[in-house]
Amino acid sequence: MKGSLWAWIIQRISAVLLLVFVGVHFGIMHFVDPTVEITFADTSLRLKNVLYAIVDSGLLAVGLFHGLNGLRAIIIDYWPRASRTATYILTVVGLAACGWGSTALFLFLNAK
Amino acid sequence: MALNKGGYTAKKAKCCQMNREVRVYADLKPRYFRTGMWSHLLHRVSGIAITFFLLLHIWEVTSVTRGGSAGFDRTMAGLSSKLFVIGEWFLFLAITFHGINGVRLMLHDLGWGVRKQKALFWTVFGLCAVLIAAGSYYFIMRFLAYPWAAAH
Repeated sequence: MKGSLWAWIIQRISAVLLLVFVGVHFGIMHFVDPTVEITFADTSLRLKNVLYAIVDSGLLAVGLFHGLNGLRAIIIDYWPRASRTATYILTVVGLAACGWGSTALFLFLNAK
Repeated sequence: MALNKGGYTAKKAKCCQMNREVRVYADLKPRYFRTGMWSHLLHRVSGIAITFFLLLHIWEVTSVTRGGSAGFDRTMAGLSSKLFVIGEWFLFLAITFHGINGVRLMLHDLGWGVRKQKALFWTVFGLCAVLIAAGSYYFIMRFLAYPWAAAH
């Protein structure tokens, strides 16, 4: 299979995963006890639950992939010549954001 | 510029070596818009908005978290203002539409309901309206509970 076909298939698979991840993350943040103040201690406690850790780290990786791959598809639609350059730049942006964001996740997981 | 049955213009692709006629689905002239075009445009605009929000969100939360727990609590308290509730409500609109319309697109990809896509677009629209109306209750509660500018 060509790379573009893989990009299409993984975009669909990540979409299904994101329906679950975004639903849980957004639901907990905004619909369960919506006026509660978010604190470091509560967030750390929440993320030590394996399911929440999977949801939030999954959102970081899968969400970034889905979003940036979507941007790539839009760029290619309007500006096909930039395909390769866009792919390189968006890959670097995605890996950087994923690396940067995971340092926060580890801080929460290592907090006492 | 030839006009085909679907209402889209056909242009010569300059990028390809084959130089063949291709359908341009991303034509931005509103007179060619059907429900499918609106759904396509809304899906893209909401997708771009959510992606930029995600990058901002990762940058912001990580920076604040790395600054320590006291700073984290202070910043999160500072974000409890009416202004941010409005922003979150728009994010809620975007992800609700993008998610539900995305399900419709994936069903079409599997070959399901392609002939009923106009009806399904309005089904998506109706589902979004119901979900947004229900979810907005919580946003209104928070909007009323928070001050315009939270104390840091």
